[in-house]
Amino acid sequence: MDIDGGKVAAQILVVDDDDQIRRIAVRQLTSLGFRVIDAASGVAALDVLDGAAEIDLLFVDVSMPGMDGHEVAEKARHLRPGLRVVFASGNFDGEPDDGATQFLLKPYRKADLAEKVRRILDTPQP
Amino acid sequence: MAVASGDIDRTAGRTLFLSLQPSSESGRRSTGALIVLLVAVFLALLPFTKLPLTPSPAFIPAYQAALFVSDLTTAAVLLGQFSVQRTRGLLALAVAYLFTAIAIIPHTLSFPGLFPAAGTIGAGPQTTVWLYMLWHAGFPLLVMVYAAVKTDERALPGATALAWSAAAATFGVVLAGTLMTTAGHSLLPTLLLPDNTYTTTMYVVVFGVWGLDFIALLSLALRRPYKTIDLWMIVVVVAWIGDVGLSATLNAKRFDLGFYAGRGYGLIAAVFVLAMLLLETRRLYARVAGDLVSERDSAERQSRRVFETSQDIILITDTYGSIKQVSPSSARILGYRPDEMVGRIGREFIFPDDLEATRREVRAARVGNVMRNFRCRYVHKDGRPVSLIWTGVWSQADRQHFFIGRDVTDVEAKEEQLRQSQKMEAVGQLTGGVAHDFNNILMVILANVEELLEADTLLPDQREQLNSIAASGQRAAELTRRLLAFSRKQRLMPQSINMNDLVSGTDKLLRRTLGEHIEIEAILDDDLWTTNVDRAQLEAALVNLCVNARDAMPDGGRLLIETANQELDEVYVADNPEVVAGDYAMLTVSDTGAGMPPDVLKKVFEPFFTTKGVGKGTGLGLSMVYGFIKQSNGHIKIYSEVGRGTTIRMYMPRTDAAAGEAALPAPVPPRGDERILMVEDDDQVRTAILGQLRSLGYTVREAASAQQAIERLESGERFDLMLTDVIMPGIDGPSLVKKVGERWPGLKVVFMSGYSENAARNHGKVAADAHVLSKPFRKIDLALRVREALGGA
Repeated sequence: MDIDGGKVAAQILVVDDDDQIRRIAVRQLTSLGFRVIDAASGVAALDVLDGAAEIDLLFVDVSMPGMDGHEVAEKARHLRPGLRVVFASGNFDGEPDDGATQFLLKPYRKADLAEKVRRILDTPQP
Repeated sequence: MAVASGDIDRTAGRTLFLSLQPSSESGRRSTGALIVLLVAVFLALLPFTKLPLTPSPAFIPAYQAALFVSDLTTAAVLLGQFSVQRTRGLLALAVAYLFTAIAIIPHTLSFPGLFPAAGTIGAGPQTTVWLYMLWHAGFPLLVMVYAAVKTDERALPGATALAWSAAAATFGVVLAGTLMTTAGHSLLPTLLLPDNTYTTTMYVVVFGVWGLDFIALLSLALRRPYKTIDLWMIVVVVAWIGDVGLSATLNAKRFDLGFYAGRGYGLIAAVFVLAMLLLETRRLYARVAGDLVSERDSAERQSRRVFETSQDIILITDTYGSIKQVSPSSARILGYRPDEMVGRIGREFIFPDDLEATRREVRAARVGNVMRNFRCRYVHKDGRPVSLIWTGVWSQADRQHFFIGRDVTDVEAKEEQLRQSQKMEAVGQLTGGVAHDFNNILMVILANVEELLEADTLLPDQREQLNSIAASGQRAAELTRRLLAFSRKQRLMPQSINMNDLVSGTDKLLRRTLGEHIEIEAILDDDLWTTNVDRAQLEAALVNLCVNARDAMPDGGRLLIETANQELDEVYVADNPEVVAGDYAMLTVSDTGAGMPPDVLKKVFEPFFTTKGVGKGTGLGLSMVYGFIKQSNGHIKIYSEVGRGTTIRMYMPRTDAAAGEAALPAPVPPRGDERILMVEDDDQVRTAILGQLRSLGYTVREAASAQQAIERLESGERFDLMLTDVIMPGIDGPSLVKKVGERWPGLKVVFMSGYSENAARNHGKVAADAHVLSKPFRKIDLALRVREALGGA
């Protein structure tokens, strides 16, 4: 898991309906050394999670048409119990942080993102 | 229901005729007196009954005509009463009077010597005397019938038919009697001799007839209780006994003294009931008149009561708008007593802006339009506008306007408040939505710039331009972060805190930020409830409010920070619909600055509303505080008065969890019993400190100025310590201490200062070794510093 350890980089599933923002997230995370799979909707994300791909972290936008980020996270955890999630949103609507959930307010800097992701991945998975 | 209404009819009938009501004590007494009089005269006449007088046949028709009219009239009145009341008793009495009236006719016609010598209708010498017996026996018999049935109050059915049949039967009886005494004259025993003297048979018969009168009297007297009419009938029967006794029983012949005198009694008997009925009519009129008056009085009293107890204002004006009457509620609603308004012109009290609309409305009312739900403000005696909703009519007959006005000031204020909070809600949602979208846009811009900046190939100019874009983007992001705070969408990290600790912890920062020209005081409630709130944000809010306060006091002033426990009850919630009732810890920031007018006050929490000059503020500071408090389930309230200052109260819901630091046992403040003189010009602060010192066991005397403190000392009161404010109008704390130190050298001194301890010393205001307590201080600080100054523990 430790990307600095040069072993296998963690794999992150990025979900955002906004193509520009999703591409930015993919680029940022990739440049930070993570392996990234992206999905443009909650449905697509759940398809990935339903498959065999190894996912260490779900990075999901809160406000999306159809299935919103909270719903995606809930269903994702149904498929992968204990899955770690980072929510990103343009405003804060009440999801508290705990070990397996973090929140990132847009606009964030790459450094913020790195810090958030690293922290959640360092937390032992329940 | 039909039965019930019948009952009501009868009840009404019973009370209608006074004669049918139970007799009064006075009625019984006067009846007794009348009977005594009648009997006395009767007894006085007895020795002279057989005294012969001149026969005067013309006396008979005159007398009997009087009887006839009187009896017939009485019968008619009683039948009239019967038709209403329909009781057996009334019918019996009516028939008795009708009978005597009818029986008089053949008796008069047959009287010898009146018309032809032997009388008319084929009468013989015995006809008249036998008709007399019929007449005088019939009446007492019918009275006996009355006595027998009088207590039966049930209404007879078919009253009219009954009355007619009874009248017909009466006629029949008299007709039969007449026929018997004329056509059957030969069969009649002789009662009267040709010289008008009586035979023995006559005495037997007449005593029999007389006896009937006594039986009738007895039957009346025995049937209690007496109604008024019973008393009258007793008088009538007594007179009747006098009549028959004198004129036919105890005399000797026709035309002797008994004959004439007895007829006097007869006249009394015939007229008495009629006379009494007429008198009753008079009483009845009096009573009806009385009822009408009292009915009118009670109607007037009732409208008076409505007028006097009305919570709305009732106003009556004449054609010229001059106030004729106004209800006492004016005192409560407008502050004017009715006597201060009556006689003045109504428009003097109307709010100037509403004058023209009111004129139009009143003119419309004059031509017949009813004024309904017309809103018009009046001016309260204390100058504030009072919103009233008016209903009014113009009465052409009285040439007056009648208005009723309801005070809706509170209702409107509440509606305005609701509108305002709905507006804030809506603006908040809009702002939140915009901020969210902006953040996404800024995300793309800033992330791309950041990525570009990572490239090594950038020219210095390009790098500078990208940095400029990044800086602007960050500024925009900062702005949207504030918008999110207002729209209750910021990220909060609530924790259990005691706001007292927050105030104490912010002290240094505040002093640094606000500058020396602002004096800071704090009154902190030692038992303040714990609350669950984002500490950093609350601190930011407090600093924000304090900075606003500073800006409102460019020439310096006093800032008061206060904490207290507050229970916001249902009454408070009724006025502040967005609040949830419950326990709150309150943090108040007050300044002595410029204050704000009401129209500004209404908008202070709205985003981008600012009273500061362009570029001086974002207009988001108070909006952020507002959104933060709301997002924390708290409540914020602002009070301000131009020239007096502004107070903002923040209420945070009480939590049961103890504050983080409060887990450690609170230090016990040292106590003492020395005498302390406390000098402080602010009443509120003085009272708070006074309570704290007393609770620590000290005996405390207060002085509101240095002058008062000196007076107290000069009066000979002994003190161990003087606790004095540094800055006071007139003589300040240090000057006071200098004056006092020379004369009372043993007196210890502790200064209280709005400046920090060091600032106070650095400014040379107090000696370097002086005991200084810097405001705001907690009770524990006060206790420790006082103890330290007094020495020992």
